[in-house]
Parts: sequence; C-alpha cells; structure tokens
Amino acid sequence: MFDPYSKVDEFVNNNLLGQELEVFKNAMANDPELRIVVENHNIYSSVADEIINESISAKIKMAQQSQGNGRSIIRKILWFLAASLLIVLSIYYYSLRSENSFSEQLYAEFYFPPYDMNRGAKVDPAINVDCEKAHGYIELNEIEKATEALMKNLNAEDVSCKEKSFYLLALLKIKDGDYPSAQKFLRNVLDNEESGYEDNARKLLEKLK
Amino acid sequence: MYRLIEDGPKIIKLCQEMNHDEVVNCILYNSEVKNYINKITQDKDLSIQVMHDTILSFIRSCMKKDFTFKKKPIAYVKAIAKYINFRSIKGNQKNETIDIENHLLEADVYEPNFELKEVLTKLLLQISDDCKEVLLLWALKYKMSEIAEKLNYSSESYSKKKKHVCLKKLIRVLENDLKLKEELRLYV
Repeated sequence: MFDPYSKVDEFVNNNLLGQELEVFKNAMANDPELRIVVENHNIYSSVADEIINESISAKIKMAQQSQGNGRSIIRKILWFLAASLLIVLSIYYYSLRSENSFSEQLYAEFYFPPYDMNRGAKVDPAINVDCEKAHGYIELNEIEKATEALMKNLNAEDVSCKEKSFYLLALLKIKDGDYPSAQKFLRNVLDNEESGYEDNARKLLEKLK
Repeated sequence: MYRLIEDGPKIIKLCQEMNHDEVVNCILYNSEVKNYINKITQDKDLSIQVMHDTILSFIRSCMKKDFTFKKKPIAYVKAIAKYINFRSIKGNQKNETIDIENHLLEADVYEPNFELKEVLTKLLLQISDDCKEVLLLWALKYKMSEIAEKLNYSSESYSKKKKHVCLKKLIRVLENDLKLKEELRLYV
C-alpha cells in the first residue's frame, strides 16, 4: 500500500515521478496533515533526526554509566584491599609489639643483677669470678660475648655456675623471643642438682606454657 | 589481534544496521581516544560530554548513505572530538575569541545541532516511549514488516496503524504549540 508519509522526503527532493507523484499529490489534497508535514518538512525531518539521536544517545549514556560503575567497583575493591591490608598489618604489628613486651616483661621480672663489687675490694671467696664475667657482659649489653661465656660455663664443674649459666641463657632466649630454646635451658636447670634457680625456672616454664 | 576500531567497513555496516552497541564500546573503551579527549578537555565532566557527543556524531556520520572513511576511523573520532571540544569552549566563553573556523569538520561528518537538540528534547518529552520507538524505526526507513518484527507487534498492519497514530500525535503536539514551532523554525 502506498504510504504518502514515507514519501515526503522523495517528494520534497523532486525524486517522486509518474504515477507515484500523482498519487502523492492526490493524498496531499485530501489529507491536511500530510500538507502540514510537507510544508514543515525541515522541522519534521529534524524531529526524526532527533528521535534517532535520542536512541543512540541513550545507548552511549548507558555504556558510559556501566563504564563508570565498573570503575567505581574497581575503586571500591582497591579501597577494600587497602583497608584489609592495613588492618592485617596493624594486627601483626600489635601482636609483635605485645609479644615483645611479654618477653621483655618476663626478662625484667626474672633477671637479677650480678654481685656488686667495688674495684679493689676483697673478693668473696664464695664467688666464682669467671662465672660472674659472663653476667657482667649481660649488664654491659654485650649479648654475644655473654652468650659465648655462658656456653663455656655450661662445662664448668661448679654446679652453681653451671645452673646460673643455664638460667641466664634461658633468660636471654626469652628476651629474643626464642621460647623453645629457653624452655630447653630451663629444663636443664630443673634436671641438674639443686642450685637455688629451680623455683624461678619452674615459674618461668609455667609462664611460657 | 582484531580491533573493531581499525575495521572501517565493519563499523559502517554495524552503524547502518543500527547495531550501535559494539561501535559505542569500541570507542568508549579505546585508551587512545580516552586519553586524547582527557588531554584536550582537561576536565572530567566535559570529557564525558565530549566523548558522548563524539560517539553520537561518529555513528551518525557512518549511518549516512554511501559513507566511506577517507582516513583511519580513529583519526575521524579524534577530529570530531577536537571540533566538539572547541564548540563547547566557544559556548562557555562567548566573550573570548576562539577561531573555530580553523577547526571545522570535514564535509561528510555529521554535525549535531546542539541548540536545536534542546528545543527538540522539549517536544519529544510529550511523546510516549512506544511512539518514539515506532517513529525511530520509521525514520530509519525500516519496512512496516520489520518494525512489527523488531517491536514484537502482532502484524504489519498493526505497525502501520501505530505509526499513523504516533505521527498524528506528533503533528498535533507541534501544531498546538506555536511557540515551540517558531523556536524550531529558528534553527532549521
């Protein structure tokens, strides 16, 4: 069927010929609205143009929106990961701190200073000076030297010196956070002869559990 | 690797068949175009607008009968973006002299009439969405049988009836609003 409204473009551009042209002119004579569309052809073709633009524009906007949403999802994921990492690091730092403070606390609670001796004073014959040297290194915070000397003392015949060395080595290991080694030294204190360090060794082992 | 943005004939085919989604995405997600528009606009909101108008203009150009690319499609996209950006700068800074003549578009590139768009939007607000759908396909020269198929109408004759009703409605809206009609006349 001939649709005159679909032929407006062709009529306006003089592309309608022969019978089609006659039919179109007839339709225009009988249809005032068709006449309006022909007279205002520019306006109606702009409207048609805009309808097409609107449809394409909607697709573009939708794509832009989903692109924006995608970006915001990525941004949210990144924020979430960053926040999680921060929380994990904080927990790790806090646990490290608290572990350090636990070992420091134990060390401070169970450590005792060496015998106080003045230069030139007469040495108490009951004191094993070689044994005290290792203890002195601890006081001077020369831990490596102290450890070396204490290890040497483990072979000493003086039981008290040997036990004290086990005990001090255990304390140094506690300070380092190396609890298994500390427990090993403390058990040595308990396994050997009575020396006066057993009570503290037992208490420490209890705390290290 | 195959990239649609480099395939001019395929882009034209997609545009003319109204399969615009792929074309929209191949421009929107192209980093070269994105960076270029960001660089020339230097503003986030403006870059979104320029990207939108560029894609619209590009698709409409490709929809023209007998359209061919005389250079790479991406170069077309950039030329359109550059022009649209100058248009928007000129629109925002009316008192400043910007030599827009030096940035004219090539003859076969579709140039959206942004002033007219505002007036037409007012008019189209008075038309229902289903009417716009029919009129869109009709304006794109789809056959009545194709319109019926695309819009899930029961028959071709229903398409004809619907199109007729919608067109009459559009004429009525326009003829009853003389102010809007006069406004439109200023631009066409």
